[in-house]
Amino acid sequence: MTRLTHHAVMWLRRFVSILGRLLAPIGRPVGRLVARLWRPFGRLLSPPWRIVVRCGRLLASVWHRYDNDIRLLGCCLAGGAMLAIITGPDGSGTEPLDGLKGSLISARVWDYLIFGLALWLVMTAARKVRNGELPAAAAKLRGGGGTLRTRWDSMISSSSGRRFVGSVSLVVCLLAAFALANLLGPFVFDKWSLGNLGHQLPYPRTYAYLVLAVAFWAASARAILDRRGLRGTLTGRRRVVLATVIVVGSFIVAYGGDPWLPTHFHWSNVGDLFLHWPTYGWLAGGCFAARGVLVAPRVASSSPPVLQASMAARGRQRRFLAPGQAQVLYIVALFIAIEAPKFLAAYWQDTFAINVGIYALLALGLNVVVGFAGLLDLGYVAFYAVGAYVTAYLSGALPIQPPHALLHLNPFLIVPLAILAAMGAGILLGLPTLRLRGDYLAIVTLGFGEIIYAISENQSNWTGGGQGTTYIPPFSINFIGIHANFDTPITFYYVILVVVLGVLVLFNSLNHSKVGRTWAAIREDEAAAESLGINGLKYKVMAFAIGASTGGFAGVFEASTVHLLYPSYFVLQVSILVLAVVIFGGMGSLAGVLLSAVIIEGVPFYLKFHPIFGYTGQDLFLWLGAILILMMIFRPQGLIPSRRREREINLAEHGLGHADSLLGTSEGVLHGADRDRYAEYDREEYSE
Amino acid sequence: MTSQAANAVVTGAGVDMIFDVQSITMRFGGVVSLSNVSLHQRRGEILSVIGPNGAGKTSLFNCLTGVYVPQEGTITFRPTAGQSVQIVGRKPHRVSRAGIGRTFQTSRLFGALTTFENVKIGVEARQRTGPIGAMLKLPRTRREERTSDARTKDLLAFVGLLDQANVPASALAYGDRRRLEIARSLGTEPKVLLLDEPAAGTNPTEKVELTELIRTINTRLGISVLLIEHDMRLVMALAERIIVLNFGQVIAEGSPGEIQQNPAVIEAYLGATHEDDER
Repeated sequence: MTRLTHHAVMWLRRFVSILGRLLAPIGRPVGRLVARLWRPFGRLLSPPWRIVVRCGRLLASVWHRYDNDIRLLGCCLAGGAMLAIITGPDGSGTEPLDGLKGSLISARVWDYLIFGLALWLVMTAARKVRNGELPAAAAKLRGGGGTLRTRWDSMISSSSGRRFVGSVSLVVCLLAAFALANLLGPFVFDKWSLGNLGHQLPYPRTYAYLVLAVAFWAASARAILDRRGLRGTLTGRRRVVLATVIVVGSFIVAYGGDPWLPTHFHWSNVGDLFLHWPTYGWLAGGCFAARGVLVAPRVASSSPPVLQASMAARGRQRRFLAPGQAQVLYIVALFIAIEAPKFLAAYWQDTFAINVGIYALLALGLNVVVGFAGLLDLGYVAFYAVGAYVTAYLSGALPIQPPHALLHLNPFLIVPLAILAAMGAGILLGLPTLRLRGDYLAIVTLGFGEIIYAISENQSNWTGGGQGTTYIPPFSINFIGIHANFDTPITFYYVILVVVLGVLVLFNSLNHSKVGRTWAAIREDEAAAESLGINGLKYKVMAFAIGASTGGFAGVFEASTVHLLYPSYFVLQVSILVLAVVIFGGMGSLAGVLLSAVIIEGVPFYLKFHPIFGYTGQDLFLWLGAILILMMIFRPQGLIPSRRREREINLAEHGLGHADSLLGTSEGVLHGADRDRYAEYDREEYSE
Repeated sequence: MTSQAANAVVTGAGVDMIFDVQSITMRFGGVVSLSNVSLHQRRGEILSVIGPNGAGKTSLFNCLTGVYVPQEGTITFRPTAGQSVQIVGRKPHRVSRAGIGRTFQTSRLFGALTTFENVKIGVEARQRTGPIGAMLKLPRTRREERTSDARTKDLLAFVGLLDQANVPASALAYGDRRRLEIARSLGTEPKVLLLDEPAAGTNPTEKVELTELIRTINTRLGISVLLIEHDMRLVMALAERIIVLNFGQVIAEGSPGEIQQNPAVIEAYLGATHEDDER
């Protein structure tokens, strides 16, 4: 074969040389002519060409070094542009695609882009410093070398360079504040110019956003100043002052950002702020940011440098968002959660309050059972029903009345009782069934859910049966002179936002506490956990009780906002849907579950009335199923995976351990015949 | 053989015993895994249980830690000189709380958790924080967090894993995993430590380190050690007394020197040499 090709090549060469000799008399002058004609052009073009090549090399090296950052920048800017398109040319979102051109040439798109840029800057800086990339770069610099990369690194790791980057990011943040003021403010300009910025100044809201920008910058980009956080650079008193400024600033944001209030500042208006829920949201956000200033980042301060480097390396490889970036994103998400609904139509407020809000609460509760403790509960809706029916009972809306008329309670007062009732139901179900494992537990809980449904359907003299129950009163406050009814979607939205945020904070600290670690241990290897003196059953029942009480809490909201109660609200499909939310978001990940609740509950409502994707609602589960299947194939750990879960899945992929802790994994709590059977298996295995 | 075991108990009657196992029998269906086994361990002693594969060593461990419930016999555990606890019928977590720590034959770490968290779980199991304290971060929870953090650090330093504190346990080398399992078990403040083949799968250097570690645990922390091991060099270096099991029965008992000379032991092991080599 090779011989053949060799011969072929030889013959080809001979042929070409003969052809060349034949054509030389014509070819040579023609070639010279072409070269002579090209020479001036070549001379003219070579410097720009060299520049093009050099630029290309530069870009390639920049890309090689900073590809993640650039990708993130692209995401942020594309996100801004998307927002501009979605909200449409006038910002109302009514004609998203019709006004495509209009929405891309107005000042609004610049607002969004600047905001995206600020977001990117702060996120990148926070991540770089958290990962300890800057000191490493400085060390490399001492070794010499003068490439672009080291020059940039030297700039950012020298104190003056850091100050420069810090001030640039501050300016961008301030610009972002103006962009925000323009997007949401009373005065909206069409073109970006210095004069227009001046026009924003008379409004207090603008100052609110400026304070917000400084707070945002200080809380998340503090890392730019010093890798130990502001703790390393500022004295204690200054830090306290800065934290106070941030908290007060968040209060001003509440004042300025609230469309219910007059645009011009007056002291008499300030007291009214405390009657509005968003104020509390802002104060909470401010406290969060202030905490960032006061407390040094945990990773940087407590672990030895070697560890940090190895963690940073892994962080770069595996995680899309570093802790610092996540913190920034949470602040932004909180901002959107507080501000966005005010500008939405009532339909959307309703959707977000009732569907997304309640499902978020339900999913957070189920996440404790499924995600934290690793137990499969298919009858979760039962606790939701218990909460709803207890609310209906105690507010006197059911056919069966409470023993005394005084027991007709306001839903706020019912909340603790409903929680207790649901928790009781959880413990009642959990104590006998949690000795079972995996599939058996799933079947028993499924049965429990069906029992509760059957009772609500058939015991019509208690529950009103299939006819349902009506006139359940809304949340209200009638307390020493303060009267408030939470019966409009927006007020209710803020109630549930506060509740969801509260539950989120509580569950987050739970997950990072002894209890959360113990759950993780039981999930992975119950026998090993028991050998450490951990009572597996107790912790599983605990997870069940906490999940159930959250479900009951959601039930109270369901009853007192929809004001109606039908057994058909508590069918198996609801359990499955909530489970889908948890799995889609990432089991054990609070942020993931929240995001997934917004997507799975919100997107169908968006598509429902969409001109192109409009659907009838019958095929919702079909699409959900398809999405879940795709998810399981391409991203089994969920949208925003929890770190522990992700590791478990990685281990399982390498044949170690069991990722699917929903199936029975543990051999610890075996009793009677089961234990003997296992022991036999055990013995066989070991004797091999 | 029964008489030999009974003799052992009689001779040990006056001494402070941490474990007192009286003729336990463990049957799985028709198979007898442990038959009338009696043994005792003095407080502060390193006692080793050896025997060919399938001799019932791990069954014995599982009986001592409450994982199996023997059909006959009693197991008395004395956490301190005055107290005595009956093990038979206790659930594993209550056995552990009584003061018995153990490691497993195949190391069973929580692979997705970090080294630090693995040990901390053991330390925390003794603390009282409940879910409400954990959610609200009550003062006691914070205090307990601090103490458990400090103790975890001490333990990691003790076994020499402090520099790997934040590495997932599944990423550790084999010898490190063994040491981590021991540290995790030490976190529960045991009075006696049951080690099930701690040297399995480790290399010679790691074996030397492990021997030193077990000796330090015994001498410096004053913890009695009950050791199952196939590696005879390790057993002979560590054990003060050796008990030999074969087919679920105690066939010999004595000091390392005596065991090496014992004809019954030699016979049992020669019959099973090829099995031993597989490990």
